[in-house]
Amino acid sequence: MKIDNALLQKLENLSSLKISNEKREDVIKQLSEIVEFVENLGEMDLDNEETTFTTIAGGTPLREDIPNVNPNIIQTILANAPLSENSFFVVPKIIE
Amino acid sequence: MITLKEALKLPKEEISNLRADLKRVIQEKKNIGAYVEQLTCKPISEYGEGIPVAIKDNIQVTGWEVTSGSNILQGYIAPYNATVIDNILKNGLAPFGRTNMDEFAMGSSTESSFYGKTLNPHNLKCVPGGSSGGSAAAVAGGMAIAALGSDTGGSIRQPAAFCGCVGMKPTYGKVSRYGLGAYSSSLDQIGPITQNVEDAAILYDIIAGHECRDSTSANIVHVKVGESLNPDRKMTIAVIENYLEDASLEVKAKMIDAIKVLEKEGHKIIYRNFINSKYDIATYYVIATAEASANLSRYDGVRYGNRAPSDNLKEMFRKSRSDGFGEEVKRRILLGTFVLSSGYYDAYYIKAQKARHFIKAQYEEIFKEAELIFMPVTPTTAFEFGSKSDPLEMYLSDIYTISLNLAGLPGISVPIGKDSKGLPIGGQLISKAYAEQDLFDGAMSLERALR
Amino acid sequence: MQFEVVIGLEVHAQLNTKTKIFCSCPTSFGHEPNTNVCSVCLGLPGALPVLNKETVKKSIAFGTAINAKVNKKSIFNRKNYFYPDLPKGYQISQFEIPIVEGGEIYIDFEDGSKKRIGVTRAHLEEDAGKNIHHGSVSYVDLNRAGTPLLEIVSEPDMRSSEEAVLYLKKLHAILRYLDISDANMQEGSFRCDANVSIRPKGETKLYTRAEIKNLNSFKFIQKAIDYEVERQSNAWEDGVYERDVVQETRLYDTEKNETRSMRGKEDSAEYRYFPDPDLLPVVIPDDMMSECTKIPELPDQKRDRFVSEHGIKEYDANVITSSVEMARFYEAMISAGAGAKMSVTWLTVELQGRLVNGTNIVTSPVDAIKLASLVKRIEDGTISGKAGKDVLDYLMQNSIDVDEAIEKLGLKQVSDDGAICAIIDEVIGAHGNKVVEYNAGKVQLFGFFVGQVMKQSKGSANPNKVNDLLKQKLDS
Repeated sequence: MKIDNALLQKLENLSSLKISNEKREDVIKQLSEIVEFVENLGEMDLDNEETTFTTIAGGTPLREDIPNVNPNIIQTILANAPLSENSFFVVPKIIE
Repeated sequence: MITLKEALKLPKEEISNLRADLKRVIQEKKNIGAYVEQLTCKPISEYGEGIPVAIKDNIQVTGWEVTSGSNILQGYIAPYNATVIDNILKNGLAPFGRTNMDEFAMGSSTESSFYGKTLNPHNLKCVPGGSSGGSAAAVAGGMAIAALGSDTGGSIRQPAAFCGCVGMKPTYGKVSRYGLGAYSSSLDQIGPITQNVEDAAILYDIIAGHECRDSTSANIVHVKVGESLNPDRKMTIAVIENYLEDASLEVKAKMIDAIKVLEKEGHKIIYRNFINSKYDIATYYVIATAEASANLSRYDGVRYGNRAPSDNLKEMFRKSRSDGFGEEVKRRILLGTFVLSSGYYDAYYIKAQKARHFIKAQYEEIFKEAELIFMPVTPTTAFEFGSKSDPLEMYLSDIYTISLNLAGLPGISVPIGKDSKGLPIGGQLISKAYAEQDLFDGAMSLERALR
Repeated sequence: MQFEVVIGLEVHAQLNTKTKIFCSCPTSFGHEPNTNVCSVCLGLPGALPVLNKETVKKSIAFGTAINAKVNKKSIFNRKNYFYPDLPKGYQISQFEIPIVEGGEIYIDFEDGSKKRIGVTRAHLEEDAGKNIHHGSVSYVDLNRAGTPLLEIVSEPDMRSSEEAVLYLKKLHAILRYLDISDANMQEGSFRCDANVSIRPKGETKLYTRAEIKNLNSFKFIQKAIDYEVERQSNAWEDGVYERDVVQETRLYDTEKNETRSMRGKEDSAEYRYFPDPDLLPVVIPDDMMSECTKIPELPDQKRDRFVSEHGIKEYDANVITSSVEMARFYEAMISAGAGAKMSVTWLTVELQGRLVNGTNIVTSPVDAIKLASLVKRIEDGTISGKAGKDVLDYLMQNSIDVDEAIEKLGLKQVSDDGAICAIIDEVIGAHGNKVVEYNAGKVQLFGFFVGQVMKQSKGSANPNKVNDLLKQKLDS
């Protein structure tokens, strides 16, 4: 599977990244190489295998519905936030 | 350097001397760059007064700048302690210094850190391994009594092997990930990097245990291994033959010596084979990058860390992330995004999860006949800086460590000798899930026999 | 061209748990910004989600209420996209295997007929925070981030805006009866999106649908759907359907009563769903399943019971059960001994008509016990129905009990036969000629006599008694 510039653009949009123009060719080449490598999985006979998403058995633990807040956490975060005002995080608007 | 076991016996008054001495050594050996503070010329980060343990820069310590070796987290101050930190504090230890790492734990040489490189104490032209290169270099370089690292595809075991110290990865779920900046959620584990096997067992006992704030934490009571270490146990150990064949001549030679030593100790050695390790690597790089691509989406410049200013929200996201992340991280995010996107999800992601099942089953087969598996940690000894410029080439150096993470098994890297240039070589023992007692007993036996 | 309308509805209901779905922060409304937040819902490095048990229990109750399959095992997935109110850069939701699948809700029309609306699924997910736009910036408050949501998706079974509103009202009532959500549209705990498409009558395939968002009242939902149907039909008839009707999100403008395209937002956003590796599958323990499938009586069941046990009309029973608060009020009146039919009237007409300026059944100055007492006093003849209205007016303004009010207003009705007969005799005596005319066949004079008796008694005579006794006297 070859990665091309159009696919790279799509991936950039989905992941909010931008590869600079000088690096694009290299990145496309590297990604293509890696994708081609991982395609070796096609050589394995996996039709009858289960999928293993985790090695932990059982169901997800269920937490009791009891409130608990540590105000120190938000104080530290707001104090060091890139931009905050009156306890809000501030971000620029979307411009179409 | 005093061992962890010895340090734990020290009277309280001597601990502050210990800490002061360590600060001095860290300053003297600044050039190694094992600690972020050595690279940024800042005083060693501290918390509490206990026996100092070096902490990899992706583990949260309240009040510390914890950045996963990345530009994007510059300015982020951790507001809470990871579970492992609370655990060490309860046991007379204290986090002491942030160790350098590959950015977001993605790498095998610590070269991708925002702060610059860490040198291998045995040969300053060589890498210390990664991603926990700083922790391993600190311990091996006499700058730490013990350290915590994290291991997703070998990031504790490989640097331990390259630096000639002990590095252990627990069974997935035995040590909580709460407070570990996530790379790949179903593979990440925190583990000890120490001067010897017993110290690793002691530190492992301290950090292990169930954590109710972590849904992937194994819900079993931790039974301490350190109190019943038995190096005299005789076990059946399976050597993976085809892996041995793929290693470099010097690694292979030292492995063969170690096998002989184990036989002499009375262990039974059997020989088995695994599937070609290229499938392990393919499986890992699909799963780990997929999970990472989502785990790193929270780094968007909105609430914390380094934001690239812009008038436009979309631009702000893009620029913050593109400027904030290094090349390798961006590559893996793109790859992970690719394997999860529609049209490719079944062909790559689902297929890899099936391969993972296969790999896990492969181990279970062997454990029907043996208590331990013995194989190399790395195909070669520490390579020189800049010698692996191709990402794929770098990935292929993980062939022996990766499958354990996929199977969720515990493993330990024990020094088994040096190559002709004096670079350390590590041997890797693996046990069944939750059988860390077997693992440590076997490692104690190996270590003692080699002494 | 005859068109058929195809409507599917998606409702996001906030569950009324005490804490968020994946962390122990309190769920909140209207608090100071960023006060109910923690490492988990701030998306800090190293934070991990742990599922709130109550969200599972409430989902089981909902699945049971709509006759759906509650999946013993379901999976949480990550839905990936970037937005400032989404701290992790992904929302934890459910995709392929939701907790509830395949249910139904019945809607009731005024003529008594019913229609079954299918519910495709209901799944658990976390809410995002709030983004407040202000000039060139946005202010982000994450108090709401992580609040548990149940996303309820209907089959595209509705064929009119009226059906859509009936479905939503019934769904709303179910959520309130189960008490699993405040389901308050104004506060944002009951959010509706409508998927609207049209097709030539008789066809069965589904054409392009538009998703309408920003609908926060039943009235606007109806209007928005009507507008959209007209827009799409016009486009078809004008031959510009392909150009003007595309799969997109549209916002409803309440001022202009029109829907507008939100093009510019990523319509075909690719979410790259995959199972969340920080969570394990949701597995419902057997004891929880049997405990939570025992749910309280639902609107339809209550309605049916009121009809069969109390003998009230189905139409009235539907009105009474349309909200859990009204149903409870009515039941309390019955328990206090008031008759069913009168309770219906006095609750749905007399009291309801007097609840103004923001008061409602729950905040009514006249509670169920009081209203029941009033009804009983009418039933036992102490006061007339007409007097009852005056008493109710008085009770709305004054904190006093029913009997005291009746005394104070002097509205006790005279029911004593002897007293009434005395007045009748007086009236008959005073209007002898009219009696003759009545007996000769002018029966409409009966009303005149009744009026005279009532006037003589200053309105306090029991009208029923007057009728009976007057008839007796005149016909004898």
